[in-house]
Amino acid sequence: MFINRKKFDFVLLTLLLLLIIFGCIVIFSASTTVIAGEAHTQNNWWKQVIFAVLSLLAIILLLWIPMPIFDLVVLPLYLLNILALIIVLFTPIINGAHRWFSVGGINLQPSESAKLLTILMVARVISKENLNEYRQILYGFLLTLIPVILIMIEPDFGTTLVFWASLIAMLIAADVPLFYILLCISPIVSIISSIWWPAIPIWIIIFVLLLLKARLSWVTITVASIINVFIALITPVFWMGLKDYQQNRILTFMDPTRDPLGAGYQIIQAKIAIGSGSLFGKGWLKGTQKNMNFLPEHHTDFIFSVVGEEFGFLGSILLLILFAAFFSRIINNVGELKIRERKVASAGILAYLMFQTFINIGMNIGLVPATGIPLPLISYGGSNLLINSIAVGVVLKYMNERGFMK
Amino acid sequence: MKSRFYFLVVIFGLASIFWVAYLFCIQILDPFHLAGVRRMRYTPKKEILIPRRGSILDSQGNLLVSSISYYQIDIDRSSVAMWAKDNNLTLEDAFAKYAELIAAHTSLNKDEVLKRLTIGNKNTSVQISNKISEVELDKLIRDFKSKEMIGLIHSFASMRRIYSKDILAARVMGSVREVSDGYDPATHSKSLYQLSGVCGIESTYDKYLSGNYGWKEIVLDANHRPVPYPNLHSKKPQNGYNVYLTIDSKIQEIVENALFEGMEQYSAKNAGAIVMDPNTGKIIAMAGVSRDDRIEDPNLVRVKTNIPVSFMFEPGSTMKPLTMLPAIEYKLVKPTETFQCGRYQTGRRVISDTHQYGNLTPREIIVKSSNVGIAKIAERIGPTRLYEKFIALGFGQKTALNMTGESSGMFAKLQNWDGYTLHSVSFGQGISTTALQLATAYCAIANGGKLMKPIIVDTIRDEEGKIVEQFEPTVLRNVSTPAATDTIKSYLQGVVDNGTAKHIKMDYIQVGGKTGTAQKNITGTKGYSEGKYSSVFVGMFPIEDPQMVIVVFYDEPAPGFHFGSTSSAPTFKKIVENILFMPDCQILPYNERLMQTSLTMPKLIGMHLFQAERTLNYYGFQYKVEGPDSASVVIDQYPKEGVTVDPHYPITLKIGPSADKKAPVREAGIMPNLIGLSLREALKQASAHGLAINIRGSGIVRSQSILPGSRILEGSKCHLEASL
Repeated sequence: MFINRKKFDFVLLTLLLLLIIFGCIVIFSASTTVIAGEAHTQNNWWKQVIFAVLSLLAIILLLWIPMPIFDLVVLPLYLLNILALIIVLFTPIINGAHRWFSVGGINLQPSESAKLLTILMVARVISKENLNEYRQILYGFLLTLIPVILIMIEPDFGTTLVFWASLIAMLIAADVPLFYILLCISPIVSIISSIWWPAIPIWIIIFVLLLLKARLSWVTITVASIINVFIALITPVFWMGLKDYQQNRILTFMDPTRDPLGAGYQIIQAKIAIGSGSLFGKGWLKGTQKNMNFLPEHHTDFIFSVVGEEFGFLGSILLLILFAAFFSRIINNVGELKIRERKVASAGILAYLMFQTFINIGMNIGLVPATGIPLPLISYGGSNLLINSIAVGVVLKYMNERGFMK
Repeated sequence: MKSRFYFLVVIFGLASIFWVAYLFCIQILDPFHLAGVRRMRYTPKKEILIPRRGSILDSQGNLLVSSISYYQIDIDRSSVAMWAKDNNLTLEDAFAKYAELIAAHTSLNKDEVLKRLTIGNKNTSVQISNKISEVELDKLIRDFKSKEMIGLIHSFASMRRIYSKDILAARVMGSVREVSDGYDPATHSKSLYQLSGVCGIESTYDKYLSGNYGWKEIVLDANHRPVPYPNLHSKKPQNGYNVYLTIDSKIQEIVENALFEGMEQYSAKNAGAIVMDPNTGKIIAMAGVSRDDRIEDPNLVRVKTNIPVSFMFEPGSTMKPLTMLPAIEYKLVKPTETFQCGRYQTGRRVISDTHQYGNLTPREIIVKSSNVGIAKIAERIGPTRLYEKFIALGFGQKTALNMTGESSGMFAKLQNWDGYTLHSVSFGQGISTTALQLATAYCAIANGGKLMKPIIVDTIRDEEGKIVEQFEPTVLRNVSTPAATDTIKSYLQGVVDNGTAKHIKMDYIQVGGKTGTAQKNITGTKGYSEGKYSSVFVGMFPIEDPQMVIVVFYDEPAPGFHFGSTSSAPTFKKIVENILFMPDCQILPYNERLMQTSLTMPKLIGMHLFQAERTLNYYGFQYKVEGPDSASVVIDQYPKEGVTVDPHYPITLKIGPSADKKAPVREAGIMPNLIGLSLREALKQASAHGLAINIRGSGIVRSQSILPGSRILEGSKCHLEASL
């Protein structure tokens, strides 16, 4: 048997299965419309169950493959995936984007597999012993930038955020000093802080304190602070230079209630769905917001609203606890892993799953703008479920075949 | 490294706690009242249902005016896109399919529909038509449902009145206008659509015709499609009541035709006539026409004044019998007494007659229409008694008919009478009446002194035909004694037998009447205009027991025809003749033979036309002859020999050169569209196409089993469904 009973993480596998089963139950509800006792189920549910089985088979296959072969195929697969991302741009438009390969009624997204392969690729490159911090950041950045640009052309803005989140996590795991990362992301924070002017000095003070703690030279601190202050101050001027409709587009992105029938519609409806669930929810299949079609995309991006509406606060908390256990297990595993590349890759996978979960739930409860990021392992979507499961499978494989050296 | 990593984990953990706290906040604490928003959304809204305006029917139940509702259909094109995706069609194909389906069930053209569907932004709803009838809509909805097509939005658009008899009695019926400021107290809804009567019956009985709004609760989903939610309440709209008039449309048609003919012949400006049943006060026909009515837009004619109740004219000599009434009643004159007529000076005024008659008895005064004689009798009656009698007969006040636009006539109050008034009024000057007032007053003479309340609405019934309100014949007051009125009636008979109207004497029926000619009063003055006259004739028949009182008047007929005897009297005669020769007229005594329930058809084929006609006349059949003028041999008869027939059923004789030839078989044709027609009209059209018709219901044809435009064979059977 290829499973090493002493090393294999059965808990993580159990949590993964629980999450997938939970997802299937919710998707069954989301694809069923019940009005006046008449139920009408779409075929989404079956597809998801089939993909769940496929995912488990994929995990088993992954565990069965010898480690050297697995290490060998990462680079060719990464290159193939880049090629797929280029080819997908020439496919016909579906739902306003060149995002899918249509094969026999199933839509495949190369951008999904790109996430995992980029993580594995970046982990391999930046874990090399002889690299200094600058090279680590540079290589990681470049390897991530290639798929990100291709995906932005599709266009799919939301997905690209995931790449950056996992890149940062991997850089941290690869022992790149925090202040480098801080310096990299500081301009973005500066732009955001300029929305509310008292935030600017607070942010600058925190920034300087953090840099001081990293024991940087006064020159670096001063230059970095001045650049950030400049960015924070120039943003409003730039903002005033925008046309009204451009401003509106950005404002709606940040505050969906400004445009209740446009972009904000989905988030408001999702919030109503969750809010009306209250403590115990309305019961499985009984969500009215869903049944009457007020909730858009309720089996993909807004699946959490269905959970909130039908299972209430208790159900949502149960799901969150499952996720928390699941992630804490992966965090635990990241600590256990001793080979640097595998550790970095696991950290990347952790960030990748956690970031999606975090953003998706935030979007459902109305704290984050709608970005089109699905809830991992729960949302409907075959390739998404498959890739997420394989990502967990990679962690399981690392755990299964971990040695005690280094 | 580890500590930094855990630092990051802690940050994420804190954020997660914030997420959970916020979730707790919106789910449990509910500061945004989201549960309330949801409750509001599933609270059903009330959709107002518009009632159908009631129909107006004649005394025989023939439809005169009815309503048809039109609906608006819109197509939600985002639903079409969804449907296209589900069925693996391109959007263009889907639009074409929709257009085809809509065109198949409505009168719309496919290309037109397709053009509407592809106009502008293709994610919005688009209006296809707002002239979809109820039947078309039903079929559309059914077909959309069976084909699982989505995106059809339909709503009430408008209501139209249908005039089955076109312009017949247009001014009596009146017209309607669309108002959108209606209010329904039951649902507190404003701005509701309704048709509101403007004039005529439509306005007078608006309360009954308009009906009550209904409502139904609906729950709409996000795509504005109704959700089949359980426990939804609704209240059916109460359709307007149907008003059954006392008017007989056949007699109305006779009267209007006679007036139009007469108006042309006498080049009159306006004409009016009333046919009234003196025993019940029912108005059997009421017509007022102007010269342009037949060429003008019917909708413009409908809003014009209802001449018989609102047009005032001086009654002239037709007042003389009414003046004579109190004199006879109070025995102020003896039948044998004579009055010196010809010229009479009272004060500074000279009253003269057109002819020098010499001494006349009261009967001769009426028969020869002597102004002097009646003036002398009026002196004997005295102003008070004459005034009281005229008031009792209803002059100078509105009748109890209660029609919109009725005028009260002009009759000076007694205290305002000057020295001339008594004499003037006695022969119908210085007093204006409407045709209705005159008819009502003469009814009192005809029925033995009872002044009947004129009624034009017989019953008001609801949709199922249950009577909501019945207008019973009412005696307003007794104005005279039968003895006096009988005397007057005999005088009136004298007028026709050997008086001013002897040229209209009919040998088969005894008719009484009185001519009247008056110069038109110039409005607002006491003077009279030269050359402008109104001619009046009031008649009743049969004089022994009057069944009908008819008032006919012409406004400004051409010189020569301006006498009551030269224009109104012949029209009266024409009307009477036509009424008497109606198949089911029961007035003529020898019609009793026709009243036998059934007769057996004699053999007529092979007879000479002359013989056949004699045979038919003997039995009293109504018949018509078809065929070339040159032919004279009966080659066919309907019904056939030996068949038992209703004697009122018109018999058709076919004449031709020989008995062998059969009528050519009509070729197959195209099915006409009968929907929206009255049954009678539909039957007429169907028989023209050689169709056998099977009818369910009554009123307006709502659906037909053979679709319009289909090819049909002779003798095909078509089922019609009709409702009011």
